[in-house]
Amino acid sequence: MSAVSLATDKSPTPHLRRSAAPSLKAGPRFLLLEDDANDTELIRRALKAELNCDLLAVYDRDTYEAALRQSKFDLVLCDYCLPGFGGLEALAFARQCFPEVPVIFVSGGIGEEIAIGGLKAGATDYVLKNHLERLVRAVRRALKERSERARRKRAETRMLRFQNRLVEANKDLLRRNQEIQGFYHTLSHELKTPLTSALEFISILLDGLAGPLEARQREYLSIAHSSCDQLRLCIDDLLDATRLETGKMVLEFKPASLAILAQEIVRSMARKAESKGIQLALEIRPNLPDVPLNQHRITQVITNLLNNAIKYTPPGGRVRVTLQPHGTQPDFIQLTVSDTGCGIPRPERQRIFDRLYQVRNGDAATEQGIGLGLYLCRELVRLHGGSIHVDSELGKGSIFTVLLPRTQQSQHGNVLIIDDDPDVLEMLCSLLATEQYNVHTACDGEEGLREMRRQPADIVILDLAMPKLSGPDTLKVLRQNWGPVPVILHTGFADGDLMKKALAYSPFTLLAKPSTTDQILHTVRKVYRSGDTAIWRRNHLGIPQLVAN
Amino acid sequence: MKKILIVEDDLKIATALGIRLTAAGYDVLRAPDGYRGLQLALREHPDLIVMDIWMPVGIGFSVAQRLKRLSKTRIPVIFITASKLKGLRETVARLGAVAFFEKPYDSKELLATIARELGTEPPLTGSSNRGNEVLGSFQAEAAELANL
Repeated sequence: MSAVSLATDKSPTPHLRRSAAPSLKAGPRFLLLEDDANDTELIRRALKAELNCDLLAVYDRDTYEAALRQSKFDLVLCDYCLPGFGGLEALAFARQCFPEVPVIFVSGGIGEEIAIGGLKAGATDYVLKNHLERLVRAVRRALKERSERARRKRAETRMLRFQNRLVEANKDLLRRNQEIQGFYHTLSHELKTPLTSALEFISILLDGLAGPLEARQREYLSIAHSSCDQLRLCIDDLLDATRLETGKMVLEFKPASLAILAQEIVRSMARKAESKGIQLALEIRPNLPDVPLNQHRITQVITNLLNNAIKYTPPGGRVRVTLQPHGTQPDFIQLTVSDTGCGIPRPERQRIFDRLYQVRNGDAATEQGIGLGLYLCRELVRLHGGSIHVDSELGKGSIFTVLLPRTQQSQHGNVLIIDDDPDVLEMLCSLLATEQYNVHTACDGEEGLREMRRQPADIVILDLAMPKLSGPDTLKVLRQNWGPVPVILHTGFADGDLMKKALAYSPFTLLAKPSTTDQILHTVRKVYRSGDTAIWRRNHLGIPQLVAN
Repeated sequence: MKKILIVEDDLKIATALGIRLTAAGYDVLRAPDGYRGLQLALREHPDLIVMDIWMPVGIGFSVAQRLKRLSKTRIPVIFITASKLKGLRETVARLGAVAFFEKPYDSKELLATIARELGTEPPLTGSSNRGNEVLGSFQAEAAELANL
């Protein structure tokens, strides 16, 4: 082995202190550790023939380490067998200086085993000196991999930054949501307290507790009282809308007769219609079955529709309420409220159910509310599993049609809960049972699948980390055998790997552990009602990403 | 005459309640916050308490809880509140309260509930023979409130 002088490609004199910054047209910078001058020359030629590169050749441990300490290299080539300095040591030192730098062993007498040992130790590649024609290819591949890795790393960093920002933004939103909740609570309190005292003092006067009243005094007080009542309704609407929007509206359903309800409401509105000279009619098909409903809320819906109808119908007009089974969908009862008012222009028809939307034509302008009535109607009917729509003809009138399901579909569903924690099972079980779901439980994946075979569930709530058959494996079998059954993954996200595995069997819905009872019920209800679950996919970093909802 | 304690921090509402209950033939005591409400309840042993929930000193729930622990006899409690916070109804039920009214409350219903609980005759509405007397006892106060 002969020593050669340290030499770079560009300058014949050795000069280790030159700047790491390459000249303008410079290619990548390579460091070559090779104690044989002839081999150095061969390697240089092989590289220069095809690559525009800057090659610094060093010949022993000291010069090698000095070079790595002082400047930056895109690639290190090194001989495997040097006197007193093994290839593995050279590799370790290069990585210590630049963790990402590709290192290729170039060696004469390297055996397959040694080569593999080198690769195992982290070398990028190895090239035998009698196959130097492979060198350029190996170098190119190493550089490409390196730049790809760097790009990926940059993307990863960016991604993480975005992710952090999202997490922050989410926290911010949650906090703001809480603030808003608090604000509405205060608002409700602050609005209702003075209203209560106004209403109370007016009714104390009306009840004669402060002495007898003259007819005119009584009349004026009645007007004030009804204005306060109107204000109360407005405040209630405002609070309802807020609760609907934040998903806090939870309804209880009981079987009840829509016919009786409609009769009562129509009776209570009769005087109002009469005083405006409007004919109010009610037509009910006999023998209608009871339907599961929240009486208070459906009363609110029908009252609202009737109020609107009377409001927008000129004196001498007709308002009609009908109740019958739906013609083509036997599972629904149909309620209509029709009027002979001014009608609703076509472009407005869809938007009238939007929050805060108001029809701005001449007639309506004089009778404005706060624009929440029909929005609340739609949302409340939806919570019943029903729908609402409007047909209208300008100048002739409008018909609002409400469809309500005969059976409450969001209840009596079969839910299978698979979780190895008996406390979680019991909690979920009793919680869902109160909502009239049929609940089945299993304490591991295998038992869960047996249960599923015995009675297929409408929803599966699945834990991720379980003995015997893990969550993802259970999910896999579920997908194979029961296809799109909605699955709620109930997970603490502690098991990142399990989560990644599970993502292969998306779509599913995520429910964080621990959740509040509200969150649990809301999620189950939503998944049960809409059937479609959010689609999660794993991005290239393995982070769950919501693709569609 | 049955004695009713009103614990309410809003003076206007407290006054309105006072007028109603006096007119209905009850003896009325009033406390402007939870702490004084508890004191008064322990000293005067009212037959029933009508109490707000959110008050500056001592929220209604804790007053009811302490009262249960400290009082030898059970005093029925009716809560009234302007709050729509979830779970209030459940808490009220758990505390063994007689009833729960949301503000603005229906005073006729409130009076009927009180009468039922105390086994008294439901008051006649618009009975104005007591009206003047009631008005007299609250006149000074009403004048004061009007200036607020």
